[in-house]
Amino acid sequence: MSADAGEAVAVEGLSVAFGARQALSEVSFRVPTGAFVGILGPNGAGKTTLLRALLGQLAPRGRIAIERPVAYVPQLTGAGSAFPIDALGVVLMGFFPRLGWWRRPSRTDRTRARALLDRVGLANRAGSSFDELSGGQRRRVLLARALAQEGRVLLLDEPLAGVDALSRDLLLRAIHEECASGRAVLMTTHDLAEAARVCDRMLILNRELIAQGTTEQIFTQEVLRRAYGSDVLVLDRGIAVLDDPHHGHAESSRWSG
Amino acid sequence: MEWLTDPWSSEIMRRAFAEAIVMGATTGALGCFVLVRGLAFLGESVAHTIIFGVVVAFLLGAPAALGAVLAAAITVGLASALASDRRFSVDVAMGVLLPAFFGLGVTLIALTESYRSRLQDTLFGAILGVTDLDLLLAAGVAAIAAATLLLAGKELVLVTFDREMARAMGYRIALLDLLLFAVVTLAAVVALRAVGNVLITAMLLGPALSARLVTRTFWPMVATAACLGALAGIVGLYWSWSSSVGGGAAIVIAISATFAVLAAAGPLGRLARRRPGRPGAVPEEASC
Repeated sequence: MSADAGEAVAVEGLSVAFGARQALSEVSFRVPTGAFVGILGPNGAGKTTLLRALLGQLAPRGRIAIERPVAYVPQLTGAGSAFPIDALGVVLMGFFPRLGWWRRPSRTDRTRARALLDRVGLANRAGSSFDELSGGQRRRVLLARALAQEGRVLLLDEPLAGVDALSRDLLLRAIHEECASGRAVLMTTHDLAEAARVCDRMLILNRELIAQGTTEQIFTQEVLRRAYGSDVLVLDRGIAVLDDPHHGHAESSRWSG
Repeated sequence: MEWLTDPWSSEIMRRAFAEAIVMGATTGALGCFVLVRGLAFLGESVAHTIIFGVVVAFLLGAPAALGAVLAAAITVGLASALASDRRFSVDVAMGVLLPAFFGLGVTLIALTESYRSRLQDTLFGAILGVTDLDLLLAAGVAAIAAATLLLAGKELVLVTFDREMARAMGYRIALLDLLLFAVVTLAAVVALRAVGNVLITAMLLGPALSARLVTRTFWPMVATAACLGALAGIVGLYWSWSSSVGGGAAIVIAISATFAVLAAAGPLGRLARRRPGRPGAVPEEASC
């Protein structure tokens, strides 16, 4: 199956099982080029599994067509923080697959990496140790690395979790620029309100696809209750997930419109 | 200036210098990977498990190096196989394999009258007894290490820094791991000749630790560690020549002294000088 013109991702009947545990079943959706899609759902809903399937790391049932190359920003936990490397060095890693085995990044690559750091507001931190940067700054560096991959599709795993306001704005600005230049961006997030505010479309998962569409289409009591299995207040200007069993504590969030 | 040129007039010392410089630089460079990957235990364990291979080779009349390499290959293979199970790490696997092989080796030595006299060399090295074959092996392993770092250095860095990303980019992580383990193991086996298996950890980790104190990024750290490793070899041998200290021990003490000085000038010194209420944290970027 290949994605049709104007489509960056087409997934049909995707199922993933880890041993006896069914992580995802019969997920089907399509993502147009230039779309910014939020992938939502409680912990264990299969959000990261879906990204890994799109990256081609799993052997799922079903069909996936995705525009290549695919760029990726893993959750921050993946990056070893004590490793001696500066921000520029991290961004340069985005060029590795294109360089091949023995070639090192050229001067042009370094200039381009600096420009990418500039895009995420870190032009003056190129020489800073990665482990000296704040959490939000690190995520911006990792986004810059993904931009260096020049993917047609950009997959982001929880890029906005726990980042400061400045970092969030800069990350979102860069993401929107990518979408405007025709790239599709898929982002997992826990934050319903944030996703509703910034994404064009949403996929709500809970081991199966609960709903997909625009914010207005899917933010209904019924859909959210099916996804989160708990009471969700859908208010005019915000959402509150009450007593979410997956988090073990009440969690609420608002969006300011 | 005689003390400077004297040691070089001896053929034995010239060979010892060659071995110490080549292996010091090689283990110094590779030690940086060992350090940042948290594989300190791997080098140590391999050094201990190969004693079994060395004794078996001796009993069969085969070259000791061959027995060592085979035993190391078996150890690393078994450790990788065990570590592929999520419940075990490489360290845990080595923790099981080290006593098993070391115990077997020691038992064999106890049963082998003729080998016992050589135990000293295996444990503490015999850099003054370096043969042509030893030098050839040292040059070979140095070339393999250099080729590995040139061909796959940046990929090994990527796998170390961010495994998840390396996997996503389509790299064969298990293969890169095996390559790194294999090269480190080879170097550890060959370096045994210089410092023996009790002191090998110092050759792998000492220069890397010192280099980490004075560099901020990885490749300068590798270059610095290689230089420090070679330098410690030279300094150690001069000291050994002018005293009764054994070559291997002198090299290891030179490595440790370098680290002690750099640590005292750097982090330890800062810790001692730091006044309360003055945290050394880097200022955070202001958020709006």
